Amino acid sequence: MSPATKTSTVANARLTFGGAVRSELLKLTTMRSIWWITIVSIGLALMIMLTSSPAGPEAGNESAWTVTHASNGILMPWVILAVYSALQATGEWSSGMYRVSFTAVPNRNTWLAAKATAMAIYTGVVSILVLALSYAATLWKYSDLGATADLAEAHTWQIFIGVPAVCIATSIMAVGIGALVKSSGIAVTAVVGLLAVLPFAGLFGLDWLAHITAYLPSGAGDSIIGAGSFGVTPDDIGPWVGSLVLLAWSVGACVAASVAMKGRDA
Amino acid sequence: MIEVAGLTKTYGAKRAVDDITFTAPAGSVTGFLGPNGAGKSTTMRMIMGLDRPDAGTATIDGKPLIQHGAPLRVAGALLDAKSVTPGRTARNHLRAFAATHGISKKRVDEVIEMTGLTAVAKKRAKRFSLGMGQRLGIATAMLGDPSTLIMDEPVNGLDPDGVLWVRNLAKQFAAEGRTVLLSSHLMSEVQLTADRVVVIGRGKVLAQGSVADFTAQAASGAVTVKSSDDTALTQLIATEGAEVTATTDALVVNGLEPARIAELVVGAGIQLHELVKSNATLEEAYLRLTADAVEYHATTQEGAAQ
Repeated sequence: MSPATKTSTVANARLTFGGAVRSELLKLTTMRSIWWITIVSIGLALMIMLTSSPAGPEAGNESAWTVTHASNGILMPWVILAVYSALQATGEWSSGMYRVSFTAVPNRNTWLAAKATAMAIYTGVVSILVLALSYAATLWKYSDLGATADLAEAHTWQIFIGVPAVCIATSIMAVGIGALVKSSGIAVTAVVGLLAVLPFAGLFGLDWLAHITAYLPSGAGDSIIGAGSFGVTPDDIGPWVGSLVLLAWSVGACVAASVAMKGRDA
Repeated sequence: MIEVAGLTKTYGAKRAVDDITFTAPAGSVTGFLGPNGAGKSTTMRMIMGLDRPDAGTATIDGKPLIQHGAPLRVAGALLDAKSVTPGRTARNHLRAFAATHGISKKRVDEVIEMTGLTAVAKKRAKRFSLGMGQRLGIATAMLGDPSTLIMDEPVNGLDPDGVLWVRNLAKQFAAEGRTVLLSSHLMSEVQLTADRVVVIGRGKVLAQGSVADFTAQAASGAVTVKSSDDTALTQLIATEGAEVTATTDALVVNGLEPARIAELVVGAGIQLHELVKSNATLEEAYLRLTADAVEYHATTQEGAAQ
């Protein structure tokens, strides 16, 4: 058996960013776990939607109430998608695949950007799907309470754009955290701690913590969408400040990872 | 071509790689030899850009790997067979990396066939034996049809058929004008496969050159001879001024060429039964050179092998 060179099949091969993103998407879609994560995310959100017994909207507030209620189920999918994103990064080291990834894509920043882009795409798709299905479920189940859809209403768009945007930014942050720490255990602890534990610490009497919650991803997320779907927020810093804060989290995590990777061994 | 110059890597107080300089030229198979812990894997990781050197440079075809526009076309490496996500199939693993460079499915199928993985291409990597894992690693390294192939212990876990396949792969690669750098502990295999060797010990280069030169240096030059009248022969050889030692069933001669010994035997009317010149093996040459450089000595216990 000789390794005959068929140069025609690879002669024009070149590393491109688009190729790197396609590679990361293939890494995602060729694992069974992606189906589980997607189904569980949708399932959990719908379960919360359909088992809740809300007091209906006030008069004149029907469509805003409807879309806000539809966003209430996003908390768990948000955390799941963030953890999954972090694990896509740390998985390179736990499997040893980083040796091949950094041969094909030696520039660590290109690799990081490609992985963050792939996770952003996946998270965007799933979060929009979760939201759309939750919206449909809310309209169907609570129509007798007055649930209505009004796509011309500003709040509807604030939710429909804001929720996926928050999920995407958080997933990008999680990829950065994963690449920074390389360890699955540390990354998951950091992500879950940041998204789901710290925000609720204020409830346990730590007042000063309760006030910085507005600047955690959960608080910033709530401020962006104008609803309490991402956590418990005593302060509303407004959608624009919230966006800057969340941007700082995701860009900051990726910059930290980039700086760390530059100086260290793979 | 791989060029390593002044490469150094220190972990804390220990210099794992100490000012290493060598070349693995194109068109040849270079064997990278050294005791465990000598710095072979660390050097290979630095060549592939995985680890950052503290000093020195490592280039492939004139540039560090990161500066090439199509790294997979330049170098493929098998550094550790466990570099695959267990739940992914072999084919999908290859597809994912082919995508980075826009390499076609046709090429993916080609490398699968080339490495004999066609039957298991759709199997998840966790079900692979060590040998299949090695083959997948080699398939991945070959995806971009690279001009340089770097392999760290490539025949680990391969059956004899596989060992032969890797040997032929390496030789074929070199024959096509490409560069092969492979590290191995299997001296007999390296002797059959490599044209050149670089020997390192305790992080330093101990020797580099052609396999032939390296093994010739270690040749003791002793000749073993058996004849119908060893006593008479011993006298004859001693008269020539050479050194003779009698072992249980033969004579070991130092300082006389086989041709001359044969002349003496025939001239004295004695029958010649055996005349063997000892050729050094790569293993002998290597063990002699690295005797002081072994970090992790195994010891045999007296009476343990009863």
